[in-house]
Amino acid sequence: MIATRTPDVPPQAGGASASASRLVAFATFMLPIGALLLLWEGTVRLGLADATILPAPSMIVARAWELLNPVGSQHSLLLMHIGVSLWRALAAFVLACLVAIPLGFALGLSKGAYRALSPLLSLLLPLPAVAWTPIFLVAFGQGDITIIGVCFLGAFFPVLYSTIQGVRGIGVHAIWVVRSMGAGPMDLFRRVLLPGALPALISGLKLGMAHSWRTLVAAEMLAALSYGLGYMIFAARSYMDVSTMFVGIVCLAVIGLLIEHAIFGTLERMTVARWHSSGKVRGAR
Amino acid sequence: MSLRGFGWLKLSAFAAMVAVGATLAHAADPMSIRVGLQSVPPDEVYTSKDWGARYKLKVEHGSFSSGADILKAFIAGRVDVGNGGSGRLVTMAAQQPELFYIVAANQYGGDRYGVMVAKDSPIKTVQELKGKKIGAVTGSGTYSTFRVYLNRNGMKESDFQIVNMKVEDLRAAVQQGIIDGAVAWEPHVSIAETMGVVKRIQSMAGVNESPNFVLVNRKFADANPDAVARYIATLMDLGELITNNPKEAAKLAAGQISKKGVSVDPKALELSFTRIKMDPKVTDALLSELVPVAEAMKAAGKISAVPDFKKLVRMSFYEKALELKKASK
Amino acid sequence: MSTTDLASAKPLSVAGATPLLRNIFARFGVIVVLLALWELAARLGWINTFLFPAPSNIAATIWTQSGPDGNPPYAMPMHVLRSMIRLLAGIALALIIGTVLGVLIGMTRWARMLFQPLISIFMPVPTLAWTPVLLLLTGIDDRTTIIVVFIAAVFEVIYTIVAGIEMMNVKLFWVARSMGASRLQIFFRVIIPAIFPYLITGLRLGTGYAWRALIAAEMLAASSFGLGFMIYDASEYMSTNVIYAGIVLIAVLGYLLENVLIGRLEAATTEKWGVQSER
Repeated sequence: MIATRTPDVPPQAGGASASASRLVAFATFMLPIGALLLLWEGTVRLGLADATILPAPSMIVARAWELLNPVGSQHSLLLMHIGVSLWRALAAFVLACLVAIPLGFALGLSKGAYRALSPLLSLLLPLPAVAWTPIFLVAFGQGDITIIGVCFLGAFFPVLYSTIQGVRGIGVHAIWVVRSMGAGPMDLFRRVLLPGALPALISGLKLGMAHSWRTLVAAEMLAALSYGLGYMIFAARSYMDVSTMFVGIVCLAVIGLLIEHAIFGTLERMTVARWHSSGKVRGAR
Repeated sequence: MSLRGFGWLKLSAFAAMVAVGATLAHAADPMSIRVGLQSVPPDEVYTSKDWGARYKLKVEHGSFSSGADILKAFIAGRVDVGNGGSGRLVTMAAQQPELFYIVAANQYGGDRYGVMVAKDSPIKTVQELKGKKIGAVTGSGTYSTFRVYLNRNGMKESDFQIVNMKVEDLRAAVQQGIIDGAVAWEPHVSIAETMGVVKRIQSMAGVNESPNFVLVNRKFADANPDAVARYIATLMDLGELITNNPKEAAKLAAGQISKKGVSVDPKALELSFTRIKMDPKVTDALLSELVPVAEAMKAAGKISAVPDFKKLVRMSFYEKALELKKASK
Repeated sequence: MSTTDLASAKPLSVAGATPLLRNIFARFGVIVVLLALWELAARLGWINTFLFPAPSNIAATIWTQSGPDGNPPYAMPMHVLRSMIRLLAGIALALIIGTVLGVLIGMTRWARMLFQPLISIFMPVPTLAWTPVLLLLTGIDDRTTIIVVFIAAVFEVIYTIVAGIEMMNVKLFWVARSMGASRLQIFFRVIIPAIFPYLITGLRLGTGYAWRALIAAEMLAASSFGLGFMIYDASEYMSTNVIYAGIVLIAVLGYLLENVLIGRLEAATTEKWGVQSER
């Protein structure tokens, strides 16, 4: 599944040149990104952009370093905020899985229940989980309960939906066959349902974690009382500490990137593999 | 009858007395009170130090992100002390007067509000902003004061293009020329000025005081008058520090804020402290400012009658606090 | 899943209306039953009506707030309208810029080398993370929210258009070129029709993400009007009925946007033209 990243370099046999071409591929990939960073740094240094509105990458890195280091007897502030955010997103995700997966199996197996509930589900699926934040705010005020609650809702529906689809995708014949051979429910689950639903389930899990993090970004900015990247960003915003704000944003972005990158395979899946899949239109030829 | 041979009895009696005495002493000593604080600089100064130690008062801080949240917790009984000003206070006074007393003034002074423009802008007065864009938080007390200012100086809201924005976004918008001027409250004006990107062309000092008051839960106050008095004494100390030594107060606040990971220039906070009045004494002049707000709300049908604010005030705690302060010097 | 069901219901003719009605009834019957149970529970005092106001209360709120007695007058329509305007503006931008970029990336090598890494990096970034940056660059709520909508939608549009270009039969392109067609003519007469189903798909997906992002952005950034602003503001005043009214509107509008509107658009265009989307 590893497609070559660049169209220019002809595929070569042999070990040394293969790793050399991969190196070139990596360099070509990083080039526009590096250029962008340099451009950004340049505009701020040359005074074209105001550092109090758009700090240069070097300033952001410097500030991140400051926040990373423990001050006095305290622990690293940045790691603290990151840790709290991650724990909230993970807790919400785990909770969502604990509820959504069993429910998904139940709904997937019962045709009646599915028919009954599917309109409700399809109505709730496009509803952004953040929209539930005000209700949580009224009921629980700001803080962890609200944030984890909202992220739970964010992760719940994708996981539920994927599980249902996965279970429904299993041919009913497979179930009949195994049942006719005298398999009990446990066996049925272990040998037919779980393996059959697994691909959809796993993709649902990935989607759920990604949704949990994305929802966290918004929920924390609205409801965090102390700690968390969203809190850090908005606290910095109140006091016009733009560098700290950008450090927070970059962390949110990078962690989001890592979650989706690690989860969805490589970045290639998002762009390259699809774009280089066939010998059709490719460049002005 | 001699007490010889009853050694164990004597010992246990003695031990019992010591235990009881210790518990009584322990119970009598740390008085405690639960206070709601926000992330505004004066509250940061309060959080940074143990102000209650001088009066043997244990102050439990609850942190909230806005005055409205503090009031919600106050109404729910989760904190004993809250603060409120203008609209919110009037609403509470009209709907739940039996819930609280007004025991002290929190902060006031029109100098807290100001109009700012970009540093290199040619505009020097509010008059010159006519026809131009002014950013403001239209629902805020700051904006009401601004309207009073306009009124007194023969101007109207409609002379300007008012853009409704959030207070934290005003500085960057002014800087980039998205708006020509902005009306904001401390510390946002000071921080922007200290950053060197805006200048303040008009302060609202003298327009009105726009006071914020300290509210205490009635049941708690009746049961623990001493604690309330000690708390007010700490407020007096806080007010003294902010008024007489804003530099030191700014250092404390900046240090507290940096614990969140945010860095603020203490000079900015120092400047903002010079613009806030923090004398806990409740005066008639301050109270009377609530009346026009209440009248406007009555006219808008939000409340049924103008509340009698004087009846809600209890200055006994303040008087006691004065004594405590003198005594503990 | 619902799109295909609705499309297969073929609501375009009168004769087909009855099965459609029956269809709707069967599907939404459960929702009606649930609502009735909720109403009953609220009236009997079984549930906390502050945190879970009765559906009748919610409906009444929507009704009064839509009229001149609302606070402010005609509040609901104004909030809905503002959100819709922001959504449409952002999507229009995403469509235009996304199509141009998508075609460039799909057709030229330099554009792909330049943009592919950038898109890989920026696409997985949570859209809301841009909001504080945008607030700095322009604190005005309309601009901020429109740009957020744009960011949310544009990646999907580019992604699907590039895929569409891949699927396009390159011979069409060659034929047009050999007949001496100009670049612009080729763009509008060959490429756009060829990738049209992909464009619609990208539009549908982009709209879904955009609606989510819009509501969240409005909660963070809006100072006046917009559904997201409405529900967040209501939480300050503890008006749970307004919050639920908002949630209902957001859910219904989101559903309509993603499934019905685009579904109908698809039915009216791609199916008529005999081209089926691959997704």
